[in-house]
Amino acid sequence: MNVFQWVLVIVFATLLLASGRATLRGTIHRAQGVLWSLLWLVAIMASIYPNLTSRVARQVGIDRGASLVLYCVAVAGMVGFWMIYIRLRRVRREVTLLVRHIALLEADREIGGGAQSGAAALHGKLGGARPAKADE
Amino acid sequence: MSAELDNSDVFIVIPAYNEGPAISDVVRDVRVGYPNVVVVDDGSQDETYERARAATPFVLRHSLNRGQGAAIQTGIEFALRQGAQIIVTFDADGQHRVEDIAVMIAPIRAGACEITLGSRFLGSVENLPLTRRLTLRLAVWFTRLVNGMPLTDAHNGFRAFSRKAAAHIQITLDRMAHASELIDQIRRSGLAWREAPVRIRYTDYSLSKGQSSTAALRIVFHYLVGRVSR
Repeated sequence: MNVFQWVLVIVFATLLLASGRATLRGTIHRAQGVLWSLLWLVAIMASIYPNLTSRVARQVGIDRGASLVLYCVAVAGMVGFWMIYIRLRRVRREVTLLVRHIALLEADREIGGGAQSGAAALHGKLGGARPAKADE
Repeated sequence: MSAELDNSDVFIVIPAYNEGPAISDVVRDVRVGYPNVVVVDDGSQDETYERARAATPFVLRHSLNRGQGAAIQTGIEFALRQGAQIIVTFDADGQHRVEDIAVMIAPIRAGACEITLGSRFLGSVENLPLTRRLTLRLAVWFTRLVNGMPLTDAHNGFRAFSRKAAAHIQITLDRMAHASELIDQIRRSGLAWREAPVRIRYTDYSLSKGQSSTAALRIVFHYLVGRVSR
């Protein structure tokens, strides 16, 4: 193995350890943790045995192993970007709901009146956004 | 009802972002005929809040800037809590005329509709720049195509809602795309709506604060993403 391969193995091994620990601790969902760990394992294998990628590539009709890796990373990147974008929109929405609640609360305090105010309203409003999952 | 005589059942919601120079005059002008004016300060960095406070007791403040759509929704919720029977959204920069408020709420009072949408193309426009006119025409075409609503003016902040309609509305797109979302909701709600002619006054001040035409593309993008991810 050359230097580059060693670097890759070390990086992926670290990520494997991190995802393994997160899964065991319950910091991320079991299923997600297992999938990520599997991914890093595959990455380690591909780093130690680069010919593996070539063989898989030929199976699916792609010229070179490197091309296959590139395509996979590109697709994963696009999917990941979209998911982050959607999540960002949801966070923005939640921030607005919070800002609105504060504005109405302050108005209640200063102006008074209105049938519905106080902490009870907060749970109703913020509950409208989807509840947070363990990994968020 | 006596509330109808002095318009105390009407709440005018004015979303404002950095409108320090204009806000006092706008609020005072509106209050002459309509005592309940709600200003929603959308996280302004200037004296918008203080000036508004001096002109009306109903001033809400977003601690962070969230966009006009968000400010309108906050104002609507506040007005509903205060017992509003009719809610009118009105611009803070002096583009809208107070006289047109009566035209907007008349059909709602008469029970002819639940929502009145202001249209500058039914009324008259002063000093409308050509690029702005073209962009607005494009917006109308887009609205007919995507929303299926035959409006003559798709992007007008002058709107009136009955209490029932206002309670039905839930603006989730904070920034300028809220206009398209609103139209969508109106169509889906099945509530009766009308357009009413209003006059828009473009002054140097209001033009400098308006949306650029390239912003229109961004608005379309945000709105479409909103529809896909709902």
